[in-house]
Amino acid sequence: MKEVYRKRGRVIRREREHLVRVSEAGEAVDDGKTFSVKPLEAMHLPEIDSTAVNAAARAIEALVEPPLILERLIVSEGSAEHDCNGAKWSENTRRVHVAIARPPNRAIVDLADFSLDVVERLVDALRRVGSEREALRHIRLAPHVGAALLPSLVGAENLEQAAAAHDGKGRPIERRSVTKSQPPNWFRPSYRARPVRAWFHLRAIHRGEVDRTLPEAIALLAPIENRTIHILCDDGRAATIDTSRIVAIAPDETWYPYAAGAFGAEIML
Amino acid sequence: MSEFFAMASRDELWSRGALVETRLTHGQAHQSGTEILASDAFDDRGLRDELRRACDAGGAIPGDIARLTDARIRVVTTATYGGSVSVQSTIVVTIADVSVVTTPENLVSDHAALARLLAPAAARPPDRPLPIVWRNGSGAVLLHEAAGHAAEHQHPPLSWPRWLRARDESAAGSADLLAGERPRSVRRESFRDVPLPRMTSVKVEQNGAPFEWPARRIEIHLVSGGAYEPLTESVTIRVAIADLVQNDRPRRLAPFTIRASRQEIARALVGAEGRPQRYPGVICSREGQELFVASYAPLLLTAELA
Repeated sequence: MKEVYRKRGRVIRREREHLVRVSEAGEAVDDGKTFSVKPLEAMHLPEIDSTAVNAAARAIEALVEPPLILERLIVSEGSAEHDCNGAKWSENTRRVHVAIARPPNRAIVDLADFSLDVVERLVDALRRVGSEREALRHIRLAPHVGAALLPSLVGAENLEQAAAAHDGKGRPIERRSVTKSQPPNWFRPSYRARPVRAWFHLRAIHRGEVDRTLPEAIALLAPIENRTIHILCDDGRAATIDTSRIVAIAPDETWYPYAAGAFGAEIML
Repeated sequence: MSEFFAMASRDELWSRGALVETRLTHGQAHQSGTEILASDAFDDRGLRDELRRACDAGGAIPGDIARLTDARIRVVTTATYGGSVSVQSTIVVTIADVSVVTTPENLVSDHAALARLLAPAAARPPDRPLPIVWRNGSGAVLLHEAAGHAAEHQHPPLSWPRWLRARDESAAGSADLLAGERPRSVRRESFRDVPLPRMTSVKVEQNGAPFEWPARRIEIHLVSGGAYEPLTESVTIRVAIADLVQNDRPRRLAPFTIRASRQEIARALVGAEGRPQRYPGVICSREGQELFVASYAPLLLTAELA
């Protein structure tokens, strides 16, 4: 069956010193043989006020002082309307991507709101960062770090897909156990991207008791590779940790923009 | 004062001679100071139509592609306007997960060269580092990472061999990458992106360099990727096709990775021979923007790198 997807969107983005306002609309048609995309030049959505984006970006910029380096900062707010074969829905999004360095370390955080708590803690830890120490016996990952880890735990840990109204084809996302088998829903991060099957809104299942006296990892210092993570602790220690032995998990309700979405998870390793 | 940029781009993916994906993108951006107003709707529809026509004419090679049924082929043709219209077509040809990046005029010969290069690994990895001969212009990728990105990040210049030149050339002028000069051209992947100083065409040359073939060596033909880590000034090169050569007998190696600091690379450059040769393949990604960078280098020789 021929599938026609249309999207109109606006986004306002602070990237370095630039403020970028983008307005566009497009159509993607999949006729079973070829996936074709073109702009629609449709009526644009209303302007987005830049106040919140600018305020969030300036607040983060003000936090980062030498010897720390604000390597990358993208703060954005967007709105979009979708139509897939007659199923219509809309969404508003906020995103923060920040990379703060204190050579040779770089901490990376992705957020779906403009709250500053995570970035403030990260800056405080980077000010005190020391050399990497040998692997810690136990550690706990802060919820936003645990969320970044969840996509790599599919098939290895009990996870759940949380329910939501629409996937990339406008179909409902049902609550169900996440398995290694083919996900039932479709992820479409842009109208230009061909949708791919994905698990949405990953949520960890509560198990065990997280020991809150342990050092807390508050940022990743490198992309997750195999089952190893390089992390920064709140006390300024940097460490390399094997994530294959999870002792306890405590999920929380904050959503993060990792893969097709993941909820916060405090994870004790 | 406001600056104006506009573009149209057609991006096609072909698999085994059939078109499987096609994307048309167009839009414009007005930049005033640090504010950019970008939209897919044009103020001047005549300009939109002119860019689309230029883009379609520049990428009109479906007959050639349909005959290459053993490959996955991505053709991106982009027409840009920043005072005048210019068109660029790049073609990524992939066979057995190994890719080259070429142009319409070199498509058939580069496809044939890639098919000839593919062979199963026959040699065990050497037990210690060996000298490397960078064939096929692949040394341009090494200098792209070690000198080009370092210059983009304004890292201080190093002591490079006196016989070596590495420049970035563009319509905006030439930059001496070994002297730490930033690329003169400001580029962006699409109308939605922030323009950045980026490399356009890296030309590596030698003048009076020594060169002697090591008896036991690695010869690199194609790389699958490279990276420069600005925090540690280290370079990573992922090698896709290389041979272990002993007594002039080449045996194919499995893909491997080279990691070294740019200081180590500058010290390891011990020889070069011949004129610059076009290397088929650099799509450079920085700040999430992918851009084609033309690359040329003579035969380069590096001493042992880890």
